[in-house]
Amino acid sequence: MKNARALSLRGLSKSYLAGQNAVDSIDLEIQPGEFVSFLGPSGSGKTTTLMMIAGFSKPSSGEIAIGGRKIDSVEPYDRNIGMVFQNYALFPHMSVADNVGFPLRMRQVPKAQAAKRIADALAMVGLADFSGRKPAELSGGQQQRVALARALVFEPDVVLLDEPLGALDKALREQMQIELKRIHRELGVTMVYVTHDQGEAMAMSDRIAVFNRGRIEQIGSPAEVYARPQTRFVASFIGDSNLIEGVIGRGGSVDLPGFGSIAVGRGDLTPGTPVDVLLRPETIRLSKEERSPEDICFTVDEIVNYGDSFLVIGKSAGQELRARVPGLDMPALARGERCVMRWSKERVHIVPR
Amino acid sequence: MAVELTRPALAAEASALPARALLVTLLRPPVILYVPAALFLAAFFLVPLGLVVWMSVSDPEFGFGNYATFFASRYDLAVLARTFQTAFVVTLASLVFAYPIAYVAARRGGAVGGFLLGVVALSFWTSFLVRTYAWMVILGAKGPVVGLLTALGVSPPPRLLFTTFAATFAMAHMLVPFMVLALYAVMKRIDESYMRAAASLGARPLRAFLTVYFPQSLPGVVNGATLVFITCLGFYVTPTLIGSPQDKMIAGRIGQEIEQLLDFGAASATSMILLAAALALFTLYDRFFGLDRMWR
Repeated sequence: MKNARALSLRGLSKSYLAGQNAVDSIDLEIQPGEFVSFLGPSGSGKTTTLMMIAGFSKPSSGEIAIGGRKIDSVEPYDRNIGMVFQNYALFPHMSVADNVGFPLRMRQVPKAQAAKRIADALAMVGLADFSGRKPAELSGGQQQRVALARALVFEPDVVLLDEPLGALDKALREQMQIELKRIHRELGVTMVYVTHDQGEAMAMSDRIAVFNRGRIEQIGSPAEVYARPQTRFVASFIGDSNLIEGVIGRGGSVDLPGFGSIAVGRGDLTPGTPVDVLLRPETIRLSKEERSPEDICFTVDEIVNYGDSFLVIGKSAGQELRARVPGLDMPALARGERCVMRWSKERVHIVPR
Repeated sequence: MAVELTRPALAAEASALPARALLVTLLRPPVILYVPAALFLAAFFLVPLGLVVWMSVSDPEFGFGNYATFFASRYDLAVLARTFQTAFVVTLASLVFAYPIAYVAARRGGAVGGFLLGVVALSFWTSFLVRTYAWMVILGAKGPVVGLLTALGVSPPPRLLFTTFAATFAMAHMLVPFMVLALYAVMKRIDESYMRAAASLGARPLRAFLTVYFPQSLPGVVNGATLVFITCLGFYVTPTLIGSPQDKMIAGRIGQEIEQLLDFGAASATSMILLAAALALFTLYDRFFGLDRMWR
């Protein structure tokens, strides 16, 4: 898209009460055409940040710029930002075509040209035949598509999406994720996507900004955020995780009480520094055969069958651990049974405390 | 539990005896619950209404003479027309007063909204009669309005009390709470995100209001207008006490026919015409302004 723009937030803060920041000094540079997710629990400041970008909420300090132009004092209706709302906010008294055409009417686009752009936008979301319907006559997924078409039809500089798939059921949500990705690829428009669903953020984003208590704890590609979380919060919020407390030892190794010492090549950390070690459940292997003296004993407490995989919850060295075992690799285990757990050392990630 | 067990047994027995079946059905709890209300309505609403209908066609002689007289009388027709015209003006005026109040209360919420609704409710709970007397004081020859006009040099000050203007204004004031509540009920359901969506799509506040908010508030406008219009058609106290004696409304005319002319037949016929007019409006409303159902 010709008008994909960069979005930058510099020192953006919002406080409702003195001394309490809902959003606390956020710095973020979003590249033109990038798909960035704001991921975090409710109350983490992600929606407040989105509302400030849209212009519905006034920042207490900091600045917002689109394509290098400061927009802090620009009214929402002049920002040229497309927005998809959680409840879609389709105008119930207007037909689908009139809803999609609304931003074009506001911009005095000539009728014939507007008709073509409405038709194109509806075709893009697969609703070419629905232009005459009222929103109430559409399913939730279809309403979502209309809202998307309406937010895209006027070629906005940036598109903001506020938990747009929250109200849809799981199957439809996955389908819409793929579709949204396709549309993003085709148009190349800059998109900011707010969600509390980490799977959704992982599936769609170029980068994920993980929000917690009004701050961005980490920003990075989905793979990066998943494999190398920089804080305990990110490690536990994204994906299933085992966090084991340890201490940095000599020569870049980490000492885990009960599990021994593992070489992790972190010579940059001072020996004696307390850290957390992240062990993703799918990196743990369970086996009934003892092979080496290094093997660690694992006592099974609970087994949950998900069909394609098993979640095995158990204890090792007095610590509760969760292991995710693919269905085909699952050894014949029963509750209360003891087995052996292994993990690949290169998968171990150190999270500073 | 015991009831559940005996019911099939009763039903089986009842099918053999039709008369008893009817009795059993009538004595079953759901039906029995309607009885007090039905009896009350019959005794205090249907019977008197029937008597009025009867009187309108039988007093002084049997036939539709009373109705014929009404429709042949230029005076009565003028009263009917004036009633509709006044109701129309009152509805319009109360809409103009009520819309901003309801709009601010619904969109602002919080302390401001609560205060506005509180003021409206206070007015709503005060009787029509009390508020009419209040207007008599305010608009009276020695009241504050006349006093202010005199102080401003308007001489002689206009007569405000006992005019159609006074009655119209006072009725609009009295019916504003109905309009506010009807509007508020609908406006409260209009999600804030619609106005935000409109803004994000490039609509300035006034444009957003006219194209997005106002159309969605129309069901409330129609509900409120119907309520106010029909209430106003039968308004008696206010136009009688502070309106112009020459420009009667239909309820005042009925009062006059009963109290001064002692013509119960004519009064009954006039009442029936008023009732028919209100029913016709309700029917029209139901037919054409099912706005509520149009997009929900």
